[in-house]
Amino acid sequence: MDDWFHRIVGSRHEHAKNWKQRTGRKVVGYFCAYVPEELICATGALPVRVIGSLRPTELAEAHIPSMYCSFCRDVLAEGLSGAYDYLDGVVMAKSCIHLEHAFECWGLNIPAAFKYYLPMPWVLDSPEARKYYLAELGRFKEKLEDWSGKPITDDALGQSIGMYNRYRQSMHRLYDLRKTDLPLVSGAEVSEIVLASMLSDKEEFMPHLERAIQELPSSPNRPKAGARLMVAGGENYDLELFRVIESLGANVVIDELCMGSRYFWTTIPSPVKGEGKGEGAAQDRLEALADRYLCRPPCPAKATPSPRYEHLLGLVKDFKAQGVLLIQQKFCSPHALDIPDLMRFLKEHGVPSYTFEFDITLAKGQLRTRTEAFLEMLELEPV
Amino acid sequence: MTYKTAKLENWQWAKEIRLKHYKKLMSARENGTPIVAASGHGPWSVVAGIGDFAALCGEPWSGSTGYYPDLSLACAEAAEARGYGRDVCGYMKLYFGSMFLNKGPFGEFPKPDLVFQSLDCDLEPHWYNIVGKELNVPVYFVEIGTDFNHLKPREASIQYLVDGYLRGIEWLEQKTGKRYSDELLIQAVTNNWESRRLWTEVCEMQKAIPAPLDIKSMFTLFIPAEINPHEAESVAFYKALKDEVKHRVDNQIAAVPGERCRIIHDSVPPWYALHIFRYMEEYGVVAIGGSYVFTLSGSWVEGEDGHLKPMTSIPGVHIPPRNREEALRIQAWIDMSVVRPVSSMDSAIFIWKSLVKDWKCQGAVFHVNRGCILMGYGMVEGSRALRAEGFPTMVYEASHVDKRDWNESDVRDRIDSFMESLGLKRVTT
Ligand code: SF4
Ligand code: SF4
Repeated sequence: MDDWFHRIVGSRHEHAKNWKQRTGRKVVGYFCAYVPEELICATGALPVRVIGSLRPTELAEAHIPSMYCSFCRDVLAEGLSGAYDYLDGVVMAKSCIHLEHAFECWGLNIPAAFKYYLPMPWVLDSPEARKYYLAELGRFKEKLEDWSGKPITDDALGQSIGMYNRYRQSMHRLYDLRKTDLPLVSGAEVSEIVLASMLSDKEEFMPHLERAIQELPSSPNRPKAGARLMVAGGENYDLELFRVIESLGANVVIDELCMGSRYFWTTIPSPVKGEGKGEGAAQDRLEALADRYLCRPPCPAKATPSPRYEHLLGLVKDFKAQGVLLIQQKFCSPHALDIPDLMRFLKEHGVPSYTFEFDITLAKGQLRTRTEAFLEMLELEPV
Repeated sequence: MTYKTAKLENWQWAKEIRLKHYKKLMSARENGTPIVAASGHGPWSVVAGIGDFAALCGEPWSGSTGYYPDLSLACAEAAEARGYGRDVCGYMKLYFGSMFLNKGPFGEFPKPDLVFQSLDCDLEPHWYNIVGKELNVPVYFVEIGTDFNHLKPREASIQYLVDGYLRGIEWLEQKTGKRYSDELLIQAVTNNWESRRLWTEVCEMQKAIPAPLDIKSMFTLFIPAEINPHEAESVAFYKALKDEVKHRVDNQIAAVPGERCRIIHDSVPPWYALHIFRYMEEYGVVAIGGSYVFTLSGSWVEGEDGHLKPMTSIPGVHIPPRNREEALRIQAWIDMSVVRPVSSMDSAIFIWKSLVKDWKCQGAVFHVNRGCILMGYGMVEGSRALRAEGFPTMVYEASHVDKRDWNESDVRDRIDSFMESLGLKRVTT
């Protein structure tokens, strides 16, 4: 596979710094996949997802109480280490309290020229939530304009929406490569591509993605026949997780992860009022954005969980997954609360599942044992 | 110096209000009174527009469950057996256990007819969605927690809440089949405003030396404003309490006769270990309150002068309200203030600093409560900020309801070192 993705993931800070130097433009770190990147991008800045480094997080201990999740700790430790000093701004969209905490500690302890908290409703399906969110998007746009010193033109926003739409459509094509009986690409490879897409300029990313979609199916390292699994849960940027599972002869054919399909799944319907040059008014574009972020597959930090279960089950069926691994960061309360109910729901629909809780460092042995046991059980199940 | 002390006259009344509340709840089914579930400070004034109802207040229900060690262990284990691990909200777990086992501190679990919940903590949607599913009851949510600074809410966030309530009123009418009364709403909101205003004034009087109340009594005294803020009896109770506390201040009647040092304590205490406050009293230390008791049942703003002030008016709103819109607007402002500024670390730290400085304290004790994420928000940063200004702080980890997280000797050791940092020695043994 094109090792561009591997390089981005392996040296994301260098990549962003080089990009900044090369283009003379700004880089904005975003804390949650509910941040509408399209607006940041329309200012000419590069939005990059803020993640940790999977190393011990002592630096964060003096700031975050012990019952906050390991992901937050890792993110904050990375910020406190100075690794993100090149960021020109940080943005958070309201999601879970853990991540908000990390964001606020960041604000208190790490200088950032632009720090913005976007109120994003928890209740996604009420008329007042849409009205409120739409107005908040307008306010965010204004704040970005003040910060960047220039207006976000209709054309710039339309083009940004168009680019994200093209990106999302192509990602669907990449994901479709695993719908075949024998997947044409491994879960580990796909996950690395998704992660790289969150850390790079989408314009620069797209040619590499298109090439990967063309070339991967004929790669000599195509996956072998094995149990088809889904991985679902919250943030995970430790690609070892997929590698360990796939080393046991299973194939991760689909995910329902924050740094996986949930990140790009909902495309703004095309033709869209907000897309392209000169089409529609500014308000239409913000409405298109509001609809996309309110209607994308919800994460469990939202108050409307039922579409998540249905969506997840739909993916299981479409990608013919035989079982689901539900992963959870240590102390992650939104997922910890969703998992029991979700497992019951999957069971009612004849889909077996198992869980794995992980910390900053992956307990590979434990993951291996649990996965092996699950795969053995799957073998006994009538397909 | 030893101050004089006296029993609190109104203490018993607070307990009676609580008892009446639970009697009503437990006999509601029999009496045909609808039961509405929400968290402790649920938007009871808005529900009041449907007429008589019994409130099943989530956190207080679990708090009461937590008083009974066997019951609370059985409930925690029942929830854990259903997959709700030890690291999810402690109150939620006891509530789930009580619901699954159909057992509670006062008898069976009072199955609600509906859930009408204002969301401020991100665990609450899960909590009440699970209740809705398990008991097959309808659920309605409005959102409080979208603003970043609850001490200075933005108009957009207030309007979002008002809009949610307006639709919620239609929902309540539809689900209960009852006609909604604006008159009842207005009365309930007026009472709510009054109860909270009076409690805020009581908290203000804690600035006096010696402190007229200690935090242990406040844990009982603030309950009516949490579970029954909309009822006339709560207003009458807080009027009487305010007079009594004023009398104590005027006559230097102390909660802790040996007061020689003042601290704040946050947040929810370990309910099974309130004796730690007695232990601190042996050093002459009185805990005068904290943002948990001050803001859960009181309403505060940041005044023009940069100090924490009781909220006495609401921009552009007539108090008492004259119509539905105004009443809901007041409720929205109350909601924003109830939730403490937990969605803003700046505000949380501002409150802790104000309490320590303006209430003339020498230090702060923070309970990092593994059982409640929301109340631990910003606590470590708060402790750092106070220390940076020269105030000693003590941080201990436990859970408000799960005794399995309690380590008595460790907490005592920490208290001893904290006292040493305050230059205090035990005066009684
Ligand atoms: S959703 Fe879970 S893993 Fe993600 S930030 Fe929140 S608590 Fe942490
Ligand atoms: S975490 Fe705290 S505030 Fe949130 S639901 Fe539980 S007890 Fe209530």
